[in-house]
Amino acid sequence: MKKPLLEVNNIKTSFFSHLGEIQAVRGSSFILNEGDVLGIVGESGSGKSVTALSIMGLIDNPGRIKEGEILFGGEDLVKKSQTELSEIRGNEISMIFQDPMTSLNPVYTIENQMVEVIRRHNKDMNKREAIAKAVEMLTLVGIPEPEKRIKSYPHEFSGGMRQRVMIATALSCGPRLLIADEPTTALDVTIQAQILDLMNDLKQRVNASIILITHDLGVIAEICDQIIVMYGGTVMEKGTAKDIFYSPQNPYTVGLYQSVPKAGKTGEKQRLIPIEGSPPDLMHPPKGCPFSPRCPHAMKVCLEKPVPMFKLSETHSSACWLLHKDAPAVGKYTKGVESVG
Amino acid sequence: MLDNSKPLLEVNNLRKYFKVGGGGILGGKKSWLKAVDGVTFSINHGETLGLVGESGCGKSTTGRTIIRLYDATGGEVNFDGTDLTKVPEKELMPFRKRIQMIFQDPYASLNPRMTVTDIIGEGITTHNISRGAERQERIFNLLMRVGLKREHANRYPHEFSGGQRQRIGIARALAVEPDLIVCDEPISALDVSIQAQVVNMLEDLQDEMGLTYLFIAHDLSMVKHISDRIGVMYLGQLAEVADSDELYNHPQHPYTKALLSAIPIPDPDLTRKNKRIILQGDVPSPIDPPPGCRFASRCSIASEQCRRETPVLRDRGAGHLVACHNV
Repeated sequence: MKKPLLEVNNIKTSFFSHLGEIQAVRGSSFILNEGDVLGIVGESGSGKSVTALSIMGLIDNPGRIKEGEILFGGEDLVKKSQTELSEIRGNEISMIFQDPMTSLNPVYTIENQMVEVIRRHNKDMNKREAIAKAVEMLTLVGIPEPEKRIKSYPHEFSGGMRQRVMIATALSCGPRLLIADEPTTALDVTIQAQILDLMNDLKQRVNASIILITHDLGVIAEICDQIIVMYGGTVMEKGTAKDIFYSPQNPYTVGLYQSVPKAGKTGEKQRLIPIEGSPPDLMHPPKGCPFSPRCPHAMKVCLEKPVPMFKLSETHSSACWLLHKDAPAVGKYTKGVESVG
Repeated sequence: MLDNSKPLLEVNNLRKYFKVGGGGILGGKKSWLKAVDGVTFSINHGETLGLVGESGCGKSTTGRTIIRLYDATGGEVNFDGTDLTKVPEKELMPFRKRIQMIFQDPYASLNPRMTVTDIIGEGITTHNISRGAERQERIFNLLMRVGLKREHANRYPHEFSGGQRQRIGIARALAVEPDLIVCDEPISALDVSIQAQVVNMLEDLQDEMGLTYLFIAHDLSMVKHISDRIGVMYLGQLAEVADSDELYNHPQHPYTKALLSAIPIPDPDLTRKNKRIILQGDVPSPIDPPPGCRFASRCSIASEQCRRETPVLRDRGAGHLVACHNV
């Protein structure tokens, strides 16, 4: 049995703007086991990035974690002070961001920036040892001639190479959890393939669990063991890659999958099936299921009552009223499942 | 009016170079950035040609040079029998009506201080198509045509979501009843569920109005979905042109093969079994590129000849064009 590394329980994060409260995450819960790769998939405004930032303790004013707990190795991160958190960030949990162009400082060399991070977390390391460690990490992520390239400035690297530097830096202190927020979105497909290949390789070589956040179903399918589908600040469905792709039990997951063209299929031109309407306004989220205004199967209960998670199997659960025992039978949705929480 | 026997648009050896460096008080060496360097293709009436490639390959520059947002350095753009590169600026007006463009960023391509009516109606007025109540009625019809409502007409762009703004951009392009629409990454700024809405709408509009599209994008699966034929660009040149099914099933150019194998497939079993071709290194700089095939430095089958001679597009049967010495 795998041990859970991270347990997120009913986390609610809001931003208090002058127009009102924006409820970016409205009760998200999941568990990440040691050594697993968890994918969080969702569109913009689904709360996937805010969930990650909440775990990192990087929610800044005017935002605040209102409720819930984030248990990392048994300790609640929500209750920790910023000083305690900065010990955990980098050492235990580190993060890479979407845009490698803006997450590196343009006026310092790569060496400067990596050594700063390494020595910040390993106080007894001298500069030479830190440089050696940095070179070792750059070699690990496949940067050619690392001894030479480490003296370069960020602008001398291409986008893909910069993302490799970010990954090397994030892994340099041996974190137990790596959060990657859209790590390949800003990159070209052939470079994306290089980075995904690298992450697949590192998954086996580095002893870290990974949370990968993306809007791209293809990327998720490629490297994740566990998947969470988010929409309107809530978790719609969670399960293994096979559960989510081969037997989705939530109309939103199904809709998302149908709206992307399946490369490889040929012959008769298939028509895409879009999800009509647009995502909810998080200032005034719908009372019931956030997807109900766009859902083809929405019932009265969907508009009025928040949906509980229905447990389909040990690994698979979904938040949809169609799974309730009194719901009408629609399509392939399993009916009469007990709800949890 | 339209002569349907010939292609609507024929691009011949189109080149667009940008001058970089040199000049100013620092002097320095002058060089040329060869964004588009000898591109040839044609689009038939009612057809969609997809142009794919990675950032910096010159696909957008090609689109912009065709509609004369840039002046070509060389080559021809024959639109319905007229070479647009030779038409004087003052006489371009009738062609501007017939070729329209949809831009990538729906946040940047609509003037935030104009109402939807003004945005859509600007072209109608400029080209003297209709005025007064007739113009207003036309704008209402266009709004409904792209899935918006009459009451949206007096609102400003910031009141709309990204997908809705892209619809306004499409309505603006349709307002002057063009023959050809250059779609420059029209969906890449939109969310997945919204992309499908816009793509379906573009397909419907094409069927109803007989539009011809040049569809520029980097998302290969979407390009495959919408295009009849596809051109693959690399560093300012076309590597391969073929019918979209043919290109996907039987890619011949080593770059096309690598590009296709790099697409992550939304199917965990399939994508993990898929043996991918990982290209080493990055796209080289388009500034003063070396002679020979542009792809040679990353190609697994490059030979001596590839570094010397630039391969030309040759027909390998049934309109499948490939620019490679070794296939």
